[in-house]
Amino acid sequence: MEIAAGEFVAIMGPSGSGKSTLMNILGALDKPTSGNYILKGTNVGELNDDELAHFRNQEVGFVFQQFNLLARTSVYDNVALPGMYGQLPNLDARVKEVLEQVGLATKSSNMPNAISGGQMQRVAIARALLMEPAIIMADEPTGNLDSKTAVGVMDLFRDIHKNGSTVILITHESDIAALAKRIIMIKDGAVVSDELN
Amino acid sequence: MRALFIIKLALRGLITNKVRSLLTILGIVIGIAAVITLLSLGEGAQSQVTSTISSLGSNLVTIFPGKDFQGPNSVSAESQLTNRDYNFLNNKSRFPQIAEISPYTRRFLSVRKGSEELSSSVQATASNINVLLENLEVAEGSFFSESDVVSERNVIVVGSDIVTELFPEQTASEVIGQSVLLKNLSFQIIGVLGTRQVSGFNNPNSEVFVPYTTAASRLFLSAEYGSIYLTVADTQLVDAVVVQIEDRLSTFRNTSLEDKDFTVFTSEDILSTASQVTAIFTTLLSSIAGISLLVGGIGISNIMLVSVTERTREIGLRKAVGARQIDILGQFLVEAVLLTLLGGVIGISLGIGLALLIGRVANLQATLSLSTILLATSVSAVVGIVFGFFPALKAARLDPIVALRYE
Repeated sequence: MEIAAGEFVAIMGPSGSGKSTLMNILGALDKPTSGNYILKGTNVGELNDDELAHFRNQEVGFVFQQFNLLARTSVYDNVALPGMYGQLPNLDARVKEVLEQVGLATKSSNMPNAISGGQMQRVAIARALLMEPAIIMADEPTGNLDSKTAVGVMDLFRDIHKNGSTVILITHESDIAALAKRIIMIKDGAVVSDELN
Repeated sequence: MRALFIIKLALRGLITNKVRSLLTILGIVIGIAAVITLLSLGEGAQSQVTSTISSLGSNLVTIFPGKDFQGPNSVSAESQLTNRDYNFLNNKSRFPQIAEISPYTRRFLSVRKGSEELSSSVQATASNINVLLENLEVAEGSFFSESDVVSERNVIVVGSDIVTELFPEQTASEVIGQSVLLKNLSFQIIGVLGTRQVSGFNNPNSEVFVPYTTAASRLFLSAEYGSIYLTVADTQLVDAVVVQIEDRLSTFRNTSLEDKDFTVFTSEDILSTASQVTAIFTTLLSSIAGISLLVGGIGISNIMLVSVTERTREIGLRKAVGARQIDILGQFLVEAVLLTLLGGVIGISLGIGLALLIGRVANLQATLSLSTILLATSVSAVVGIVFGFFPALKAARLDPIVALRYE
């Protein structure tokens, strides 16, 4: 499989199809047991644990179904987290920039329990954008949101894609997948179709 | 610097869970407080003992019957100290370096006035005891004289507590000339001693002094002396005089020098023994207190393990955004150490306060040294490192994928 920079790809498949495994490999959380995964010229399978962590920090922005924000930690600090591990030099400016991008500039000092589900996911998206990664990896990002909020979040994904980000979306919902530009279907661990939308 | 950032993360981790953090360190706080309190009271006791013994004068030499300080009660009749020994030693030409010498026997008896009674330590001595012992001062009246001793008069010099307990409405000077009863014998008060400092171990103000001759024939009904006190004119010669006494007295008492049936102590001997005893006592008590530190440490481990489990998803997330194993290990280890250091600081403050409080209430001295505080602080840090390590390692080794899926 090849994904070029700037694409918006949805990866679809039923449970057990191997989409989690694929996501873990694409997101450099795991190394392939056979074959190669090359992202931005780096063969991910050849990295050790520390290098893998650094690679994730720089090149992958995750958005999870369950948001995975740090509790009792402000929106600002949540977004800044990858920047702290990556020792980003202009951290403050960058945090403000991405919060602006997702429309949450005013919520910077709020706690996660004081914002809505949709807003929490936006914070997660801002966090994912912080380090200007090679790919944004979204795993069922609307799974915990109601349909109205889901539309808002998907609009945001479209916006950041228009801004130049590469978005890889894992989902089992066809109407969510339909919002991407390219849909790859997998089943039983193999690609069964790969079509432009 | 990355290390600074890890410390910041750790601090944040603790602050977000203040209640749990405080409960966790309770064991450490109690343990450190207990250790500090016991160590300061122990050090205080040590310096108090030292100053009490020093106040008696460094020229003081004491002779006790029996080998190795058995004392008069556990010694055979032949080995007792009696007037023979006293007279042998009380000889200026034989022992020119001995300045003052007195028999010294003490028993607890009741001192009675009318219906009031006070249990008192009765000291039977010669008339020069207030010269011999540097801390005996007569505030009112006078000490008994040589003639009182020779005539075996029923005279008594009392400590200040006798006045306050048995003559409640009267002053010390009013008490002079009145009588008290010891074992139904009437003794006339001829002097009142100045108030002396009370330590936790004895109250010198309830002591009374009577002539040793009177005590021998009428009070204790025994010609044996508990001990013989003497002072040496020149401090430099104390050890030489001790050698001389041991040599001559053993010959006089018909024993060999090695098997002599009496023991001679200098204040240095008593000081070092007393110091050793208090030191052992202090160490023992502090070790017991140290057990609670151990328990506290186990508590830390326990809570950190729970914390790791609770924060599994968080750890997975941190790894997903770029935390390496060492970052996670560092964060949790620093959290544990910060917790224990905080517990140490609180414990030290509490321990100091408690030591001062107990000192005031029980009339004990509490001494705090910098080395004790440093010891307590390092112990806290070490406890944190040791008991925090395993949970931190567990956290660091979590697989991010598994961790992220954790419910």
